[in-house]
Amino acid sequence: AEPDRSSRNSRLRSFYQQGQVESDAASVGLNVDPCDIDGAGFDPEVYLSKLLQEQPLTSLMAKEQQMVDQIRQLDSDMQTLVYDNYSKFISATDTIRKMKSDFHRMEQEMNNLAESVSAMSQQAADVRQHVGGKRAELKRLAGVSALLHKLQYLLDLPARLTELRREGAHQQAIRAWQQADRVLSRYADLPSFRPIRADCLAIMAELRAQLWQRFNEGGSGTESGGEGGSGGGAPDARQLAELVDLLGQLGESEADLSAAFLRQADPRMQRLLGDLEAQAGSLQDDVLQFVDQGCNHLVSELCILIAVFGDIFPSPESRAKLEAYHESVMRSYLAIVSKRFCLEARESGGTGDSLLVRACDRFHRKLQAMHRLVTEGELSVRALAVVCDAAAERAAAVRAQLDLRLTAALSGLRSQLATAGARSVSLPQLMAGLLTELVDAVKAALAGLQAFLATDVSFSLKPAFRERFCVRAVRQELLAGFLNHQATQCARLAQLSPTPPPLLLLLLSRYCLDFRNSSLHYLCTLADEQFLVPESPQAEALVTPVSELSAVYSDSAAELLQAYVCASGGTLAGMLRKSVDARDWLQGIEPRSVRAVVKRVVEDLAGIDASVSSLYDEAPSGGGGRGGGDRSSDSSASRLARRPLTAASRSQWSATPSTLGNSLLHRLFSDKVDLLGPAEFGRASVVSGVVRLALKTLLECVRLKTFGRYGLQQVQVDCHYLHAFLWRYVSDDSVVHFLLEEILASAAHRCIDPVSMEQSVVELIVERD
Amino acid sequence: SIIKSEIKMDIDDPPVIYGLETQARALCSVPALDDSQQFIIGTQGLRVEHNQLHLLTFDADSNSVSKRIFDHGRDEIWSVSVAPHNPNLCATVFNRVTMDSGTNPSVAKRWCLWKLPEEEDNQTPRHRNSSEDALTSSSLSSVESLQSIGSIELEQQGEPRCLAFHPERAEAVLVSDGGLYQLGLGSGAVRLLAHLPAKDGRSQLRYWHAAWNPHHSAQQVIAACDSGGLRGFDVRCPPSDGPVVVIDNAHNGQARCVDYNPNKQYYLASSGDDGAIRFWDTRQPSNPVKMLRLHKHWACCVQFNPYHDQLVLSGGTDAKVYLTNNRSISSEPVLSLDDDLDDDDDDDDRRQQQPELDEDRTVSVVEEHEDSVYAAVWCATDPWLFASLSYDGRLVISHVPKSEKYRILL
Repeated sequence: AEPDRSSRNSRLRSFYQQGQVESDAASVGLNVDPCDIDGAGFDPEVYLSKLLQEQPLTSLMAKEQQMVDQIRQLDSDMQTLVYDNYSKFISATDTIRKMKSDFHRMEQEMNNLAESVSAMSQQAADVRQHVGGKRAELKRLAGVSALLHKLQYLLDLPARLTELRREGAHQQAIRAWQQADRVLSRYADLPSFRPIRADCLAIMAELRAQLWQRFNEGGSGTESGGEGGSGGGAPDARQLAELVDLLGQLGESEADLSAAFLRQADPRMQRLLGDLEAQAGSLQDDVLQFVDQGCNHLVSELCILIAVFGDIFPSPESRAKLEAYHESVMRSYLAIVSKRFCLEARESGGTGDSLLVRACDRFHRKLQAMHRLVTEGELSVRALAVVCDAAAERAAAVRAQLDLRLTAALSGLRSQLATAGARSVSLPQLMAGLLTELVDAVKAALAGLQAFLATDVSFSLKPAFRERFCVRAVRQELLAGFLNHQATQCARLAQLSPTPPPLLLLLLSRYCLDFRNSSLHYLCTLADEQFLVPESPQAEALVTPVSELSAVYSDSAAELLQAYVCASGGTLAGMLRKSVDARDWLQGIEPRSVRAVVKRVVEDLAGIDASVSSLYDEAPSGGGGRGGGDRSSDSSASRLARRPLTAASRSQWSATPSTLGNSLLHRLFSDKVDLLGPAEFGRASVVSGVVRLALKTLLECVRLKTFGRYGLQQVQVDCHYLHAFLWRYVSDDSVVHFLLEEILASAAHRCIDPVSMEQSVVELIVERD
Repeated sequence: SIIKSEIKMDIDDPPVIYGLETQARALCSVPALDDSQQFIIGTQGLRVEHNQLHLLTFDADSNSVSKRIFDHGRDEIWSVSVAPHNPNLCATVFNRVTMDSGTNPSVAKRWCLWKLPEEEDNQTPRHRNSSEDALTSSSLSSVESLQSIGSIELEQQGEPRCLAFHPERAEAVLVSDGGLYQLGLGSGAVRLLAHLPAKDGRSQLRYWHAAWNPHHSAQQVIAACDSGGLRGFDVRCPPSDGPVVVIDNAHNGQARCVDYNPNKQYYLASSGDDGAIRFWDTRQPSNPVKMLRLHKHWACCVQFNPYHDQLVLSGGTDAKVYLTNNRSISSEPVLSLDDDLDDDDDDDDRRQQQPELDEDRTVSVVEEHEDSVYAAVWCATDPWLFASLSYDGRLVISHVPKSEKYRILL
């Protein structure tokens, strides 16, 4: 059945769509099957003969039956189609006929319409003709009516305004008045309008006064609101803004309003400032509390003020005014905070660091936040400056403590040296103690100040803070300043007029030297590391270089050592001077022994030598090979006592008037000896400086006296004794030799009966002692 | 800069050296009426037959000295001074050795006023004495004799040290162990006006040197003590009132010399055995205004330049004489700010060239001495000349360096 259907469909298609079939036929034309009964190239003869040849009888029979059925089917289909088309044609004919009759009726109605329209246009022309003359009159009447309405409005205005005012509808009142005012002011010269205008003005003035009053109340309202908490402030601010808007509409200038606004805010600010100021002067409250109070009250208040003001008065002039006001408040505030911080920095003890740092941090954060609100005025920079000042003040306070510590240490040392005898204390031990104490104190001070550099502190990384605090305040003013102070303070002792104990000078000289060698560089490096002092030229320009400090210490050490030489030499010299002054050299008996004072000098010299050698080695430069042995064996002393008995010294000792000439000649041909040159950092140099000073004084004292024979001989004995015992203490024996000769020569010269003692006798006396 | 090059071209005159054969301590400048530059020195020879006073006149043109010699006999001279009001009046303190009964010698310090004889016009011209032949020339000159005006024995006199003439009046103060003796010298005779005993409470002081305060018509005198202190007295007050100026421990050791600043009231300088020169304001005696530590041993003398008080001369037993400029504490005005502003450029230039211009500094050191210098004085008539005397008898007359002179003058 399937092939039947498809063939039937294709036939139908070919019936209705001729062209398409043709093209299809053309496309399949290549393999036209003449046996395809549905194809275009069907050949019945071929098909029939093919069937007859190929098919058996039974299938031929079936085929015939099938074809008959198909033909019959096709016939019925065709019949159906014809009927269909026919009925369609009939109904179309009916429709056309019906349309024809309808059109007739429509034409008739169209005619009626045309008649009506022409009648209407006729009437309209009539009306226009009648009304034409009265139009202007109507328009005028309408105008008068409107004017009367307006006049009525104006007449009602005062009452209306009063009403509105009473109701508190200020906005409407003002708008009504503003509208009316244009008219009223235009016709102000008309007598009938004048009273209305006057009334209105009076009402508006009242309104204005009322608004001002509200405004003023609003200002004070901020105060009371602020007192109760932050909740009361905001709505008030909105009302204020409204009031300002209204007053602005009433013609109040923004300048007046903003000024009044600030005027009202001012007393509260001043009161807060006053409170803070009162607190700033004392340490009663802790500094954190102080900062909190300042931040929470004053700064918050100010922020609110700024925000509200900015909303209300956006014009640049007002902004400038606000800035000026803000500036003045902030200036006072910063000054107060700075004062308080500095007080804290100065007065608080060692525990104050962390508290102060936290306070500074909080303050700095708060103001940084505020800085975002007020971009102008460099608020953040100034807050940082306050913090910097506080930190620097703290460093200065620490420095002051260090200075006190130094003074205490020095005076402690002084009293220690004074109470304990010179021999009972160990000088190196004392010095090491002093060194440790002060180095530790400096280290502790530096460590304490590191709190300012904690990573969680908001300002610790600011370059300005680093520069001011780390480089200038700590590294330079505190550390370099203290180190310099210490050196100069030590050196100052050398210049005091009643000289301090010589041992103190000696000890401090060594201390300066040791400090320079061991601690100076260490402390500077430590501070550089702890406070991250950059190695930039700017930083270096601000900081005293270590080499300079080192030079200061060297100078101080040298000065102290020189002062020690002067002081101990001076003590010996004083003993010698008094002994020479007190004695009657003219009259007297033949010398039998060395004078006690000379022995005492030699003994003291041994003490001095012991003290010096406990701190200083032999002379660092060459030539220190001699001496340093124990001063004990009498045999060595006597051996050395004989040593200088050369022919030259013998001739010097036989005092004659030509002695001076000899001495002159001696000087002419010998190098000029620097008798009292500066002492070097070595035992021999120091002690020989003392010796030279003592001998030089003895020489000068001898020159002031007049001697008899025995006086001269006593000097001879004394000099011999000195010669025997002093060699061990001096670095250059020839200087001592020279001085002793000078003493003898001068004594001989000052002698009225210059007969010297036999050398052997002198030696005998000296050896006996 | 023109001036500077001139200074460089100008070579300083070398110092003039004059030698004595004996030792010497006594030196003073003579305020000659004819403004000639004169110094007087005394010999200190204990066993010499003829000690002498040498009056030396410096001739700036030939840079040499001429001399007159006065005989002082056997008495060795320890100190000499010339009266400002009368350059012919001179006083010496000397040592006289007497041999009583041949064997027992005794020595006594005495003092005497002398009148220097007038120079006779027809005398042979003064012997020119340049530095080369200084040591050999003294014998060629004729020796004149001194005319004694007198001396009086004073109660508890002790050893006299020196005599300080009043700068204006015919008065003097004798400094001695017994204290200060105010002497009237008028009408050709010596009278004792007042005695200021050298007592400090109960302890005995010994005065070494004294100086008059030249201000306020010179009514005060200050003395240097062996204890290192300074004591100032007002001669109008009775001696029992005690000192009006007390500076204790001015020096560690003995105070050797004291001098008032001639141009600046209340300021004075002192020197002592600690080798320091200290400057004091008598209104604040607790601390020195300034201290110089130049001398390595005793600083024996100190003196302000009589005209330019920033220049201070000091000599010491270390054989050095230092000339220092202490502008910061002098009467010279400090360069004011106005000057700075007026001619900024010029000043900057100058300051760069001479950065030390206004700083205190050591101007020069006299190195010519080989023995202790006990006396160094300014010439009374020439602010740019000074002399120093060392124990070996060598007198050195030196000039203030010209560069310094121009700096002060210009």
